[in-house]
Amino acid sequence: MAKAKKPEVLVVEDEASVLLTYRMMLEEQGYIVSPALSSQEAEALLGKKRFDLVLCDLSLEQNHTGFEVFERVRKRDPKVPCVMLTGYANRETTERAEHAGITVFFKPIEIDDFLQTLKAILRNSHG
Amino acid sequence: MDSRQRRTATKAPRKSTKAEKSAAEDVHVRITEFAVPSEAPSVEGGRYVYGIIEAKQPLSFGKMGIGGAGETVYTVNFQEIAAVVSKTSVYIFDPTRENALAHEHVIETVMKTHTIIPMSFGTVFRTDDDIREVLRSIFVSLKDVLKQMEGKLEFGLKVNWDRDRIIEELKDSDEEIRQFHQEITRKHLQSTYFARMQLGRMIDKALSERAAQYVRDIYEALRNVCVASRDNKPIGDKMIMNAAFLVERDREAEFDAAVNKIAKFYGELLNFKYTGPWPPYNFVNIRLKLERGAS
Repeated sequence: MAKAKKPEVLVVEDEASVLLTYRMMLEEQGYIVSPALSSQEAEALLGKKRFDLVLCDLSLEQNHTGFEVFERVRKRDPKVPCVMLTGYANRETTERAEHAGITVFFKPIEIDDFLQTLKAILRNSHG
Repeated sequence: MDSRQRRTATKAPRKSTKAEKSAAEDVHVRITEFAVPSEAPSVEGGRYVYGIIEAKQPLSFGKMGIGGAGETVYTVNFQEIAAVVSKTSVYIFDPTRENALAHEHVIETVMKTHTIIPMSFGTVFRTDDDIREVLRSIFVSLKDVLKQMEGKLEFGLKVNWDRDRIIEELKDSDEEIRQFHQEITRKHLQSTYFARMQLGRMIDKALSERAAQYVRDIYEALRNVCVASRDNKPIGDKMIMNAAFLVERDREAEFDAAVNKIAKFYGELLNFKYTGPWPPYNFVNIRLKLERGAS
């Protein structure tokens, strides 16, 4: 029987240590993680391969935001699940995310819940 | 494997030497008397320029010019310097693999017998006289750079590491990380955001320090067998070092041996990608700024 393919996740976060933390957490769960420290790096990776899920912080380098990354993701493939992490989103931001079908997690995240949710999202998207 | 990448094995950030810095300065040429080739080529066509060498007499390097027509590669001389060129009916070259390889092949051939200052891919002039005018206008700078680069070759060294393996090693060998990791495991804090972030910060810091140490050690091991080095930005998250080394042609074997020795020392921990010899791309930067003549 063919082995299930490991999900490929793009993680975008402009702080190296936080990016590494998410990466380690996700790799422990068996995901293949492509890390990006900036929206530019994310763009480059998006041009190279298709991801099963994109995880991105709201606030990126300089004045870039996670929404820019998600827009590029969706432009390439509208079906890719998107998850946004934020520590301070206001109602407007949250509504914008929900309207675009982006799952929002508020920091500090509850890790077990976060991982379970990602698993469910991936399961549903491959449904 | 590309013959230019035949080497098996890889420098920590050493500051540019004075000579290296001066060689890397831009030489700007502003030509106002001659038209820049941007329109349709003339009947005779233009001249594709590969690089500049020292040569008192006209030379020919064979029929291997860019463009697929097998044009002769020859020199356009001015005093004791010369541009290595071939005729072309094309003024704008697409950077296709075929064109890039043709450009490289010529430079590689010339390099066997001459020190060459490479020109950027796609440099085309209208006539031999235009080229002579450029050589004349920056003669002193070109002579100076040629003198500095005489008998020297460039080698590239990229070093990658297995980050996951290093992390596992840090969890065992770094006392602070080992203790904290044990503590959060013991207290079942694996799922606690702040504990995980703290561990991530500690590992990230240790990784940066470890990478910097490796790079310093590699540069140190190669310091005595090169003339200068240049530290370029690593590409991607697996690369910890992306360097170029300027090496005396007659010390190539010594440099080779030193790279292989340090690569062997690190074994499977680090992966060395060693390339060259190249013309001194990273140590010479000549930009020809051409302007259309008012006429």
